Amino acid sequence: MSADFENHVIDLLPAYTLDVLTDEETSLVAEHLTGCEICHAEYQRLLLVANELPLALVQTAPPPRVKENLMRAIHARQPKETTSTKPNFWNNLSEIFRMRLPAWGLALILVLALGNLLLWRQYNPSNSQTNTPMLLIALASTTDAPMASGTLIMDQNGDYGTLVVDQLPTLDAQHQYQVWLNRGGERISGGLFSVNNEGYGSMELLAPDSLTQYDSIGITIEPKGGSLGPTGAKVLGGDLPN
Amino acid sequence: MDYTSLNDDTLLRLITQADENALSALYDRYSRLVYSVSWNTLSDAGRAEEVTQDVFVRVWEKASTYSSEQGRVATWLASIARHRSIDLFRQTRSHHENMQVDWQEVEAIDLPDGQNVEWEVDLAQRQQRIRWAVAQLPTEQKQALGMAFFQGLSHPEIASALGEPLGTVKTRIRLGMQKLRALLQDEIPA
Repeated sequence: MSADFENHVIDLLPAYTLDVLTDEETSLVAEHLTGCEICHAEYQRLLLVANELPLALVQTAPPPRVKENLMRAIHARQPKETTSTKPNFWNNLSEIFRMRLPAWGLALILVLALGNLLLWRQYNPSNSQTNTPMLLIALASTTDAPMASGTLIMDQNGDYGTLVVDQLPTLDAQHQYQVWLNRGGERISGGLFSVNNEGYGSMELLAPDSLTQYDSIGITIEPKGGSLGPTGAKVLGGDLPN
Repeated sequence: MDYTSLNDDTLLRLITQADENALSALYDRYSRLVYSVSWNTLSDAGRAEEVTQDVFVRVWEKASTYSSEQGRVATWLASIARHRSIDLFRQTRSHHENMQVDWQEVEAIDLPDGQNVEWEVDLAQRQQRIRWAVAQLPTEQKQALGMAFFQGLSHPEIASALGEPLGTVKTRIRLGMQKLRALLQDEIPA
């Protein structure tokens, strides 16, 4: 290894990708990845390899009863409605109510939603009869947090936005989640947040421009205090309406 | 409609519209993968069945949250299965002493023929590449990688289970992943 690589964490990246490092080592690598394009690129390559490993297993079919039970279970459920990238406000609000959220989380959503509704109507009296004054945007989880879900509540002008997340991994004290707003390849921080022991959290987005001016939103794991640009694993993301 | 000819994205779109036939087709396509991931983590058929059903119930409920940004559908499903299985494994690990992962022998791969649809060809090629690469690793590297990835064990836990020095285990995992990365360079699309 050349002298240029002496301070890199290349040798730790395979274990970091497989999540077998100690907390201290994990923090060291995560911090290094914050500012090192070389190691970050190598990490991304290793991640692609790790994602393929399940395909190398001997594949055995589960017993037929598993499918029978599955189909019975879903048949018993209410049919779902079609979703879109710009979902109907009330339908999605109902979806949030079905989520496993703490009571204070639901209350927060309602307070913010109604507050924004009143504010929106105050400034847009000509449109006060509109049925969908706000948008709820479902964020997609990633392979780094497949159980996670997230919803962005924003007014149609994009002046206000509140993010609600659930089932995100709980991070150690050296890391936080950071929101990124993407516009034409440029990523702007939308703020930092942490989650409770159940992976639940919420925050008001901080953006210099209207949220409708951005193409997409993403959430990554970053060292505490945030990074200048995304460096850690992406856990949630989605397109913004514009 | 012939669901077996539909690609994964189309099946997921139909699932968001509560199409049970689409879920059935996706299950037929990937239940072996999901079950195998769970089995290799848990070494318990009953729990592996439970996880397999859970994964597809989640697909039914959360198909709309999937986006191609997060990788291919097979990767997404395997990731859900792996995380769910490791959670269960950590609750009951004292009852399991399995230290082997059932890596598929490279010779056993069924190559697609001219009758296969696009998704089958793509999946078969991906399986062929990774199985070939894994087959190049020494047995002890494959074992350490399997215990780390599928069972979520840490370096010290693997060293303890294998009765090997910690440094040896670290080296096996590092060299194994680096060799796979080198073998598959320019082969795996982002």
